[in-house]
Amino acid sequence: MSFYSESIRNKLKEILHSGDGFVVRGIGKSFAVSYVAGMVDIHQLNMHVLECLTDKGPVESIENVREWIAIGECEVMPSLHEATEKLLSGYAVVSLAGTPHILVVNVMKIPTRTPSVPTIESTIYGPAISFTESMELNIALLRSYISSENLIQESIQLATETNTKTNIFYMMGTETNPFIDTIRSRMKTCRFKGLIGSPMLLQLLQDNQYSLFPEMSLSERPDVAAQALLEGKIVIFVEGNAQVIIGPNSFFDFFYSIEDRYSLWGVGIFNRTLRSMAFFISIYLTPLYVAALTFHYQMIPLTLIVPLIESRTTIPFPPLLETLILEITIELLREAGARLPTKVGQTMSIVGAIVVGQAAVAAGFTSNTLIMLIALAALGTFTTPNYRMGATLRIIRFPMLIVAGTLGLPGIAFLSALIIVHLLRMTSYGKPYLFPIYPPNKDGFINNMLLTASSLFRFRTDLTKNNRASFRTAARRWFSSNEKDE
Amino acid sequence: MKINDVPRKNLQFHAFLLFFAISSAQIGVGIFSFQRSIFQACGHIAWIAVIIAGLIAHLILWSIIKILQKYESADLFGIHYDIFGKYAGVVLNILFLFQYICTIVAIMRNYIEIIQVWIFPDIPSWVVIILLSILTFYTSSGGIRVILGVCVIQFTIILMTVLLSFSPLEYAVWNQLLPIEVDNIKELINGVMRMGFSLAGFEVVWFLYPFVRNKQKAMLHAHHSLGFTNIVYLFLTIVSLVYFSADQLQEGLWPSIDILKIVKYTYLERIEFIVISIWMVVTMSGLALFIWIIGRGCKRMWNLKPNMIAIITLMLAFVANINIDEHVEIKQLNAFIGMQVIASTFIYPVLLSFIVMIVHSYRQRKNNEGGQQHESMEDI
Repeated sequence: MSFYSESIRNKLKEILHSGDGFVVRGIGKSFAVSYVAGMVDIHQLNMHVLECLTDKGPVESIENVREWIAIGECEVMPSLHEATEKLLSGYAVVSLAGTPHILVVNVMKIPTRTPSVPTIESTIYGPAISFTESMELNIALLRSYISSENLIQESIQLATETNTKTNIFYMMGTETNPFIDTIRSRMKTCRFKGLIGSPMLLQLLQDNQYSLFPEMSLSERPDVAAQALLEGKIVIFVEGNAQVIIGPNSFFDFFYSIEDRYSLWGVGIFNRTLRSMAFFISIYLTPLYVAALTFHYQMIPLTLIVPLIESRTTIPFPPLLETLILEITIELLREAGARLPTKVGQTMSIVGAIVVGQAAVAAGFTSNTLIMLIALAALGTFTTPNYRMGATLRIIRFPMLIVAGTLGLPGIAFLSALIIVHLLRMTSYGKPYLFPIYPPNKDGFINNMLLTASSLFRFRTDLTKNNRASFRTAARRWFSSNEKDE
Repeated sequence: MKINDVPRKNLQFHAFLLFFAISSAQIGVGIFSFQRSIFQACGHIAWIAVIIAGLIAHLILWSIIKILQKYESADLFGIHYDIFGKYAGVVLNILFLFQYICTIVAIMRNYIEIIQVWIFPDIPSWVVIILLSILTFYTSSGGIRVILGVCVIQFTIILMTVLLSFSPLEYAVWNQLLPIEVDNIKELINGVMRMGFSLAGFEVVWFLYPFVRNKQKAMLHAHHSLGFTNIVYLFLTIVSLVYFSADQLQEGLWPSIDILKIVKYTYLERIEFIVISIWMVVTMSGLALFIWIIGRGCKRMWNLKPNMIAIITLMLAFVANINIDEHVEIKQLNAFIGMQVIASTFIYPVLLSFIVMIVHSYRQRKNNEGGQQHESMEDI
């Protein structure tokens, strides 16, 4: 071991608070190569760094060393102190005796998994590949969908203790992206102790941080990210996260699945209609049952009220309590299913099905009718393509049940009005959250909500447009710019 | 206070939204009971009274917007200030604000009465007032854009309710509309006056006008909106005239709700429960609009915070509502406000347009004279 490499080791120990885990290898008398064990590709290190440096005579500057090394990402740093950050993220650090300058070489090899089939947002048609925890791999995946020079990448270092790397992607179009400045400044000003998951960042980027409703969505699918980019939205990659942040979204964006665009337009419309029905069913079905049976039994015709009352004759609870018990059971089952390992989860679901389906009725806790309604409502929440929005809908159902049990239909109307006003007040990066409905917009409505026929579909709507130029003028501009190119 | 008031650009809205705002200010709880009072006044020709009142309302709306167009971007507060000066203008503005406070009390009280009669006989009034106040405050503090959003949603609710009211037509006796002859012109005028109370609300254009982005289209959309309201009222009047017998219409307090009772499905009856509940949104949007106007006026005149004014107004409305118990009292309140509204909505704009015309032509002449004098001075 040479004297020089020993001195580098001591310096590094000092910088890293006498921590261990790094390797310093002296080559000859004047070189020292240091790296963190396990974070580098040993093969690359041997072939392209160590082998180049052995048997070399005295060199004058670190720039010469850089010439020898056949690796793309090589950078000269002014001091060892500044190179430490690179060292800790998997670079090899080459130092030369007699000069403070340091060469960092990217031979990083972070353990990652290969891209697999999307598990959270699964579709029948369309690409079956999902993002992984490696940002480089994710960016490569995205670039394979959009290989255009208009796709702008911008890396932003967050003010965190974890030094997490993030990248913003957006499309440079004919008009400047109206959100990019806001997002950039918000990302730079938000302060974390440590950022581990992208959902943590997502919450801080929203306009209304205290709202129950999400404004930005997470996706693990590169095609979803690509479509969002083409719609003029912004995609944020966070290192170590398999889900990218997509935003800003309007309320209705959370109810669209990418598959609507993959299927035939009629089928797409049908699915969307089904989902919007499911939305209403999941929020209103059980509260209406509670309200009708508690206060407004006059509303139900005789032919229907007889079986309803008959199935409830043996139940000791009032409708509100009966429904709450069953709803909480369902929530328990869901939570247990999400927390348990997959193998136990299957047994769990069988137990749940037997308990809820058979035993609760046999024990006289709930009525058969209610079980059917609750099951429908639960199905309704799970048809929402976005899991975050689905969770919000599930939470809303509980206050809705309570007002239905205490104030009946006026209570339901009150809470619904409160939610509608809340949604109307919300903005997503300054744009109205309920976009194509309010402010009413014909183009946005046809484009976003109704038609999925590809001939009528265009990506950008007024939500993401900067100016209010109509589609025709935008198209004219596009055509005229093409002519100029020719 | 400035006469012209140009709101920030992101607060301005497209004239198209006036369509929703005006009809939403007009249609409220009154839609459930208006046919009865008109029928009491003028009998089976009530529908003629509705048409005449509608046409008059169109004329008034035209004159209101004509006055507004004389200014760059002013509302009624500014116009008063301009025409009558500092002190008289403020007094007139306060009269208008007072009228809106009374209207808020009346709207709340009428809705509470409907809930108490039709859904929950035992519910204390304060519960409903608090529910309405929470909604109203949350909406009005969101500003004009949120209020207009509620108006858009309200429009769909009204449309669906009107579609539901088609079902009694299968039992219609059409010759109850006949004969078309006016026996007593006094009765007809009385009916028109009573209809005026239901139609009132289109005067919110006084206060919304500065917020309209493309002002040249305001006239068109405002008239569309008023036309929509007139059609709704006319339709409901005709349906109740052909469905109910004269005695029934005399006795039933809320003919429009009785109409909804006819709607029956094998799985659902008593649709009026749902409609009355949803009507909370309709009621609330009217309240929020008026609260917003009051807050706006106070902000313009004394630079007070609109949210504070909203809380004070809602508290006043609460106290006033708690003290009104009997149906007779509600009736008196409605009659009192009815007279006020006729004066402020129908008569006052005509008066004001004459005054504005005189004042403006006087000023113009003075300006011209001044200009001529100025020129002649220059000549010398």
